[in-house]
Amino acid sequence: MPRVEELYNAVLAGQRKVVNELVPKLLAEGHEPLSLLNESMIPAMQEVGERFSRGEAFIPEMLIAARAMQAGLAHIEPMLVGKGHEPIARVCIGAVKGDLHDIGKNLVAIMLRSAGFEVIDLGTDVDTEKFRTAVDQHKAKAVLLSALLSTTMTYMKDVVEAFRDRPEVRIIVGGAPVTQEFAASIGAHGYGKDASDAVRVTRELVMAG
Amino acid sequence: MIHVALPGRDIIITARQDATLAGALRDAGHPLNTRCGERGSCRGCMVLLGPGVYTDLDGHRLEMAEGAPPREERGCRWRAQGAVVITVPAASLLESTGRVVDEMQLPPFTPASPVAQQPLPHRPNRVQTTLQLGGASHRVRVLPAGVVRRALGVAIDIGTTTVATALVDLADGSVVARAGGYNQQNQSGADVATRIGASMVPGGLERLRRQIVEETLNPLLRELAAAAGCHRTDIVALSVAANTVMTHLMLGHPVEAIGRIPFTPLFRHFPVVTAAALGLWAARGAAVACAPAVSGYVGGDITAGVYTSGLLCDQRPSLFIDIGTNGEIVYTEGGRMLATATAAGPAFEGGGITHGCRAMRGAIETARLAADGALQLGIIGGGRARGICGSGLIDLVAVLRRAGVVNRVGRLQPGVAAAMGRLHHPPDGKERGFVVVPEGASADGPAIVLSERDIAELLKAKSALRAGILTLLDEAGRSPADVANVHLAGGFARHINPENAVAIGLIPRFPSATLRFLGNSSLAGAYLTLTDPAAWETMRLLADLPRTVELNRCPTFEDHYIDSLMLPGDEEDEP
Repeated sequence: MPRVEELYNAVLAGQRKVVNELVPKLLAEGHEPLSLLNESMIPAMQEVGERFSRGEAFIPEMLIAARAMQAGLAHIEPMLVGKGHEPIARVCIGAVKGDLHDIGKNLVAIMLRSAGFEVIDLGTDVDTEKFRTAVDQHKAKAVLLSALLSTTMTYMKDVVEAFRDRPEVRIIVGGAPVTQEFAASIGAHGYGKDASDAVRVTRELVMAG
Repeated sequence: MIHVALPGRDIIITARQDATLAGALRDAGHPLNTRCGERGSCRGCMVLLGPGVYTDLDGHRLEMAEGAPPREERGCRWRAQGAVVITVPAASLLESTGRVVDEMQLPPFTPASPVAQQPLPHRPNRVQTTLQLGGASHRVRVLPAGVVRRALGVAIDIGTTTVATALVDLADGSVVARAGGYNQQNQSGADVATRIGASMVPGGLERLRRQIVEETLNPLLRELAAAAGCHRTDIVALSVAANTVMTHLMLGHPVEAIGRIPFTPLFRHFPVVTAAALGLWAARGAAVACAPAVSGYVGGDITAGVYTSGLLCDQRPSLFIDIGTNGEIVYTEGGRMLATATAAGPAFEGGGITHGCRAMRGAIETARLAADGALQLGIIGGGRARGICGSGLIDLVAVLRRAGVVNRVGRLQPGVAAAMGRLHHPPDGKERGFVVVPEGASADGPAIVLSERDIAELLKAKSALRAGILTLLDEAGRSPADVANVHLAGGFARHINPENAVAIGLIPRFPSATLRFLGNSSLAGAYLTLTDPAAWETMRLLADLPRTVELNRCPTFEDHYIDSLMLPGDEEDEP
């Protein structure tokens, strides 16, 4: 089925109310949920991500679009259960222990979903035990760690250590104070400088390994 | 040897071995805006590298030929190798001549002198001065009988960015001198989170303590004494109001615990200590009292401010809002109080904005659109503009929104801007912006542009504050319409246009509230601690009253934050 321009544009412009009304209407008209997701919503979110990477869109627009996407996903995701919808991979994400900031982490999560990943969002203040349990339970291929404070980002090292015996699990870090150098120094496999970049790095690492 | 083109003049400086350009400029008395603590993660210290040879911190070599276009790089990442020529844009300088707000508004109170003189028991030829401060009596000096000396106190407000002081004659409460300046901890980072990080490296805590005590406060104390013609030993009392991190750092206490859950500071109530113990320039026995803090992120500056506002005496729903790098919000309704803090970041003080600057001479502080469509700018000190400070930024975005130049998400409508002849559209198509001051008409020459990226920075800062206010009201079970008083504190708030603040959604519209600007209420609270006998005890109780709300744990915060990112406007184009 082709792209529904109205839905594509509504996600692109972050029109949450429009998306929230349009998706149930389209579903009632017989549109396939998977088609709406793959043909209209995901391409819109990808376009937002690409504009961001090109410096043509900024974080406020991304957050606004992500929220509209979320509103649409809320209608579509329940209908995909058991429909044989295969994600690229399952990944876990969380803000590390001591850190309560989740707006940036939520943006990365929605961008990952828009890129075809199944995302297990562990929330904020997540300790190593919770990361390990979730990875085991969901057979996740990667773990994304977020921290917004220089005081909490040091905990990322503990998480990397905790996965020492699981080298097949890729660890990607990000957040305002986190740098490429820091990521390398704690032995993380990847570093995402922003939400778009985090998706790119996760895709590369998961595909490679 | 570095040839430095500063705005308006050139200087030659020599750099220490291994000093970065930022370090060399700081040593030469021209500190750059190294707001990320020289970690290379912000763009505060951008300089233009001209002819010469440079190496970066990783050892990469860069040779700039004579006549080649200069290259923009971070001053904290590069070193000069031999003679070089660099240009420092005004926006990259940590201006040491900014406007530091020390206007105080005081509530009605009954002043009383905290000092008394009595002969020493058993030594009738000696007279001791006792001082009532911080709930106790202190013997602050002993003089030979017959020697008459003034007893002075200093009220001090330590902000993350700026410091304001007032020298007070303790006999009658009169303010005899004032001094203000930048917090020299700026070198170690622009916000409290970065400073906490900086305190955790070896020697970091001591460096921060030295920066505030020896490099910031002591020069101001000397300046006050010089202005009033008094001696160091005449200063017998110091009253400090500051956020919790600043207070800890001045006292030399670790702040790590404030940086992670549950954000508990080492102290909320601070014992009174002597000036000698802290290394402060005052009488050795001078007593130093610090206003008690509510929590790790709601500090003594807020306790002092709320006390000053008099809101405790009003039974109606009221808000006290301190707008700065951190926004603190206190809700009061009779004895019921809620408090929170929100990280707005440095945009209101010009940080992270291409042509942003502090409220210094040459800063665009107001903007309006005249009836004929001409953009009218108000510039601090008159003359040509050098940059845009926080209040100017708010005015500009409000004006551009009203004129339809920007849409609800802060994107420029190129056609509208072009029709005004003010579209900035660089060849690479990126960093589109609105030309605020055309090329050749600014103080430094190049055009002053407000880019879409700058507007995005402002949107993030203002939505943090507005979402904080709305979330706190949710927690109180109230809406903006219920609020009877809104008291705005802080240097920045003193100069904003309230209509425009509502127009861009910095604060919600409060349809039935009385809006009041308190000025520097933290300094006022520090002053009252010296002169108002009721102040200390009330602040001590007040600091224990509020329930602290952690915004990131509130279910409505994220939604309010994303709603508040948008510029208010017609309902039809609401995303």
